[in-house]
Amino acid sequence: MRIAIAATGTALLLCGGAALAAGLGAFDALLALSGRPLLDPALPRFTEDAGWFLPVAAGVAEIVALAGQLWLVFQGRALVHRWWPDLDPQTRAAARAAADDLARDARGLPGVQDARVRLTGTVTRPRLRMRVAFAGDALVSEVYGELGAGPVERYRKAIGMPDLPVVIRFRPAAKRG
Amino acid sequence: MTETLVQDVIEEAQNERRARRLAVREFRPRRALAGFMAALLVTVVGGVAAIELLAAVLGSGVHPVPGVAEAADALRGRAWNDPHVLIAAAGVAVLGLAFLLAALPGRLRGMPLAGSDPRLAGVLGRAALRRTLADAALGVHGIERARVRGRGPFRRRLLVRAATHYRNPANLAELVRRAVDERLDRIEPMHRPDVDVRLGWRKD
Repeated sequence: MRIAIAATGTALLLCGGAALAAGLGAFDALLALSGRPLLDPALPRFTEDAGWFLPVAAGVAEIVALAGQLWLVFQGRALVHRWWPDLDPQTRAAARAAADDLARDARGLPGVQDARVRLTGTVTRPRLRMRVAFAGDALVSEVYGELGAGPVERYRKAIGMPDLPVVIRFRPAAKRG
Repeated sequence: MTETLVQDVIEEAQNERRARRLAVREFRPRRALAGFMAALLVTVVGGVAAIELLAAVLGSGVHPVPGVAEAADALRGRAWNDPHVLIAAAGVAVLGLAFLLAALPGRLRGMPLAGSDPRLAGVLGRAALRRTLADAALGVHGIERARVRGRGPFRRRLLVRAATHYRNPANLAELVRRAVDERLDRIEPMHRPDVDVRLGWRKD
């Protein structure tokens, strides 16, 4: 994602910078460009003479458009899979049952006031996301260690994913009263 | 025996490194908006160019995409040194620079917790960290107000600003620092931040 954003940014920066330089006369020593129109009348003549140019340019534009569409689809897919995991029905059912156990076990740890669990991602890149609300002075490090050693490990076993990466976000619980 | 101990130590260090890598990957800003905007731009520009160029290849005299005929007329009528063209070019360059800046890794979205399980990543959000540390500072007897400012691009330390109604603060600043340190001990972050305490007191 980051590389694609950087590539788009580099292309835009180079195009904008080159157009700015051309407008300010940086290339005038070579082409005397700054006073000429943007769509030069010489361009249609060139495309008529070089028959290969338009089909090649159209092909490149097609590829760029296709890459952009694929990029959009991948982003949409990743967004959807954050909420609806792309897993088989059996795994999803097992995950639902195991999530209840995990949340209950987490709430039983000292200082934990609330815990929410969600399995996301795809079969090849699954993630378990947990949100844990703790009381202000809770031993967060201990809760984190206990969760990883016990309840989370049981969850992994229950759904048959021993290498499932787990992401836990801690936040202090809202004070009551 | 010694060999097993050394192996354990090496394995532990490897696991910690992998856990750190997972945390960095998970909590690095996703730049979803920049990604969406860039993908949309690439799709629209590439799509319009492809349709227009294919129409030109097929010898069609018309522009199939609405608005392109007017844009082509405007481009024929303006020179490279036209002020509007220069402004548009500068705008494109600035947009490119913004995308490049968005592609930088950026700060993590919170403070990762220390751990040695390479399949587990824990984090305390920045606001949550500020809130819990301010709460610890408020627990010191005599402290009335406490605010915590996180680390930024120009500040490498956490800054705790606390205020007391006492006229003589004595060692209150030290007590606040100890309370905040104690709370950080209970959180055990992956990289422990240094803490600065600034205490205000009654001067009348």
